[in-house]
Amino acid sequence: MIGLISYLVFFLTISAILAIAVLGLNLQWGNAGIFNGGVVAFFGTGAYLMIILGGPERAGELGGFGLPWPIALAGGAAAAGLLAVVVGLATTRLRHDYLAIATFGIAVAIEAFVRNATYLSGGAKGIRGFERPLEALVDNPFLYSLLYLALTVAFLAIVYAGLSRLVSSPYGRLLRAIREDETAARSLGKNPARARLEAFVIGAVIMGFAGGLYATFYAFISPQDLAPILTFQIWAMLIVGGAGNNLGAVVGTFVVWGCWVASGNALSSLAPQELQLYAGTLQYILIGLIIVVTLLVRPRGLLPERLQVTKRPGPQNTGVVSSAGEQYQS
Amino acid sequence: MIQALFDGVLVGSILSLGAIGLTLVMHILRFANFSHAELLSVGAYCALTFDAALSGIAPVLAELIGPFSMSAALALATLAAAVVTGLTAVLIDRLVFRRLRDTAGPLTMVFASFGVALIMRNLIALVFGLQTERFTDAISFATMISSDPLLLIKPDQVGILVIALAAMGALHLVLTRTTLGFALRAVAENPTLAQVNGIALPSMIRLTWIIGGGLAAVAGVLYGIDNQLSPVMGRDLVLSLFAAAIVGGLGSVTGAMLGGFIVGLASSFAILLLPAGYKPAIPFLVILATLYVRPNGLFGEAR
Amino acid sequence: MPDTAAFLEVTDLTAGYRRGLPILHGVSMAVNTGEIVTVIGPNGAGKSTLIKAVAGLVIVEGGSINLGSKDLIGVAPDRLGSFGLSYVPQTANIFTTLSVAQNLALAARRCRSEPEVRIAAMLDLFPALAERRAVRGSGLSGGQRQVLAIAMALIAQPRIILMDEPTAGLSPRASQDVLELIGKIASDGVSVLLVEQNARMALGVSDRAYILADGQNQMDGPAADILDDPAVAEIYLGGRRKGAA
Repeated sequence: MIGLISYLVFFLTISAILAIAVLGLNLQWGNAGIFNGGVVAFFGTGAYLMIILGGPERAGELGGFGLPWPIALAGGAAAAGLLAVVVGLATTRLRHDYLAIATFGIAVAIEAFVRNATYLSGGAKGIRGFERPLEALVDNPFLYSLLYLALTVAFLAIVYAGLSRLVSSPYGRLLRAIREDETAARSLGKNPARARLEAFVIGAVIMGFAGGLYATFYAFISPQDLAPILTFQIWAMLIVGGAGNNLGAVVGTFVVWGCWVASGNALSSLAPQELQLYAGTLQYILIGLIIVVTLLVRPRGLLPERLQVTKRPGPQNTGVVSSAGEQYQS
Repeated sequence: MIQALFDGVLVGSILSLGAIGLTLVMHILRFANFSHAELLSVGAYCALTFDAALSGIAPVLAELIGPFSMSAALALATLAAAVVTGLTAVLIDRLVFRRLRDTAGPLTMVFASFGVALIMRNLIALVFGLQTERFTDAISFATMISSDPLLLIKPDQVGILVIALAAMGALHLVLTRTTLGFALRAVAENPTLAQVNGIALPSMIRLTWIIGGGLAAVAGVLYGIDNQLSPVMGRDLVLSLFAAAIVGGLGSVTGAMLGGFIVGLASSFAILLLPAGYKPAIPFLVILATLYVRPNGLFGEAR
Repeated sequence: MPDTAAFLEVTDLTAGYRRGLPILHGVSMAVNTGEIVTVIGPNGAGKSTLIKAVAGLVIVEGGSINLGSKDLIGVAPDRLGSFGLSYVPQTANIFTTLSVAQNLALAARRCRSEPEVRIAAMLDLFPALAERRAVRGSGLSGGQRQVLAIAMALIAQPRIILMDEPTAGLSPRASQDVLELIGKIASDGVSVLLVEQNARMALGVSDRAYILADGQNQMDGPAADILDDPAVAEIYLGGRRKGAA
């Protein structure tokens, strides 16, 4: 019984951490229409930097500054944001799918970097060992896992509340306006490139924060955790839940992560021995199918975005349309 | 140094072939297709299957030609694979991308293309196994065109270069000498004007996929000859293909050809300076540098 | 409005770029065989939208478009040639990456009879193009581009040509040449539907004219009458060309 409960606590903790990252993606994609093809880069940067800043000293390697956990966590999130600035400056003004390619590229680059920069990242073996916050005070591992779950859920609630406020603020409306019609937004005197960059960076900071929580939870991070599949999983969660809807993002996380874990368990207990090697292959196909089928069949997800349509009187409406028409002509 | 130059050109010629189809699709269908590189795998594994079948039916075809590790069977298999891969691309378009084109924005198609890539890659792994494969077990190290320690050249490598250049030459002729080629360029430049000039977009879109898929198949086979076949070869190549397309400028066939060589050379020269482990990051650096310095690439137009 | 022999007939047309947001609100008009009809009106009146609706390039939500006895609504733009209709867009109306000869060869793909003969006929008709057959579209002057665009439309031997501001951006001299060419085309029995900012000049070669404003018919009649109408001159033909495109 206690085994089952501790498994559930484990599952919920990971889900809550992932949900934070999905919320970050929801700000980027769901609200601002920014395509992030390398979620794992920002997640991973946050994770690595957290553990480098806050972890114990490692022989012959840089890092291990032993900073207090909150500072290390914030440092990781900030680093993810900084990375987003570098990529974003080059791409937010360009064709939108360039950002998809550039972010996908940064994920590949970061993975290659942590695999090879042994002096900083421990290389392929990663960085192991981290004193988790308050761990010394709670000597029962089960109680500690409950405590950490509570902490993660609290963080999830804070991020959720913060993003909900942001999304319903004038800034959130601006982001959606840019997503729908960048040209019109620009003609209203807004600076779409800047707003998009801001949303991209804020989203990346949230992902980096989630990465920090993830590394804290395992007290371990390695290049394995930065595999591209994580990006696809996080997308699947957002698409299934409903891009643009924060509640949907959280629900989608639990649904997709539940499917992932359940399929993994089912394969390992039911599949014949010779197929075990291909369990991961089958699970990847599952994620691919979830993404494609959801986009085809239920493109707005389980909980679609509630669009706030502001009705305006007729003449203004035609004004907007004819300006769009002229745009089309030129 | 000179070895890096040769290796870069060799890899570059393969990347060029793959990037041509990618740049055409990105330009004409307006989305970054992350599943394009999987077409290289589809082509390579198709050729592997056809090659085995042909060699079984007519063993005489399986004899290696001269100093090459290529056989008549593999040549025929490659042609068949090009056709099958082109049709596969059309089929995927019909199943996924065409439906989304009508209802959703281009970025949704980018999303879907990641899903498609995951499915394709892992289906190949499921069918052919996770292990790597080779077209032939014959070791062709016996003969070397150049065995100077500064420059090692295998006959196969010259063959690869010649085939890749010939495929690009053939495409160039189609694009510059046939009205079908004019039509494709016209659609790439201005789809609406092409339409009012009597060009049916759906058939041009099919043609784009067939050309892109066919060239990808040839690229996949050449990559398989040079290295080996693996279900994750698409994943390993996708960023390089995008880098080639972006450096060349989206929509430009010439640009993609040149871009392929630039990325190939950048990668082979980079490992003279950096540890080999950083190689996967090189295409990203090429992309970032291009976007900062010349965002529309060498031959691309602002859009 | 002529009640017989209307070749192109648009009735009560509602159309726009987005569904539910029409730009044209119930526009009607007709072009007879061999006639030049000009549509004028202020910027944003829906002139281009009207011509694009006929060419099948915008969303039609109501009304009808008939060419002879055939309904054009829902016909894909690439099939218009087989209905005897050609369309010359306002800008970007030639392929700049193709040579003059390639542009013509492309446009001739839809000819039922031998394309080579049609290409030769166009090069005969337009010596300026024949001289520059190997030049890329991007290397042509504005006037030459317009001539090439018209040649690409004529090559299919249409019965009606739609032209969206063919003189936009041209010098007065080149504009005059293009309008003369349009007159010549019509005298061969081809109908022309013209949208023009350059209203005074266009009316000079037209048979009839329609005035649109706010996506609705304002006025129509013989071109000469419209030219002479003092109220029209005041509002639409005045010295100030509002926001020339």
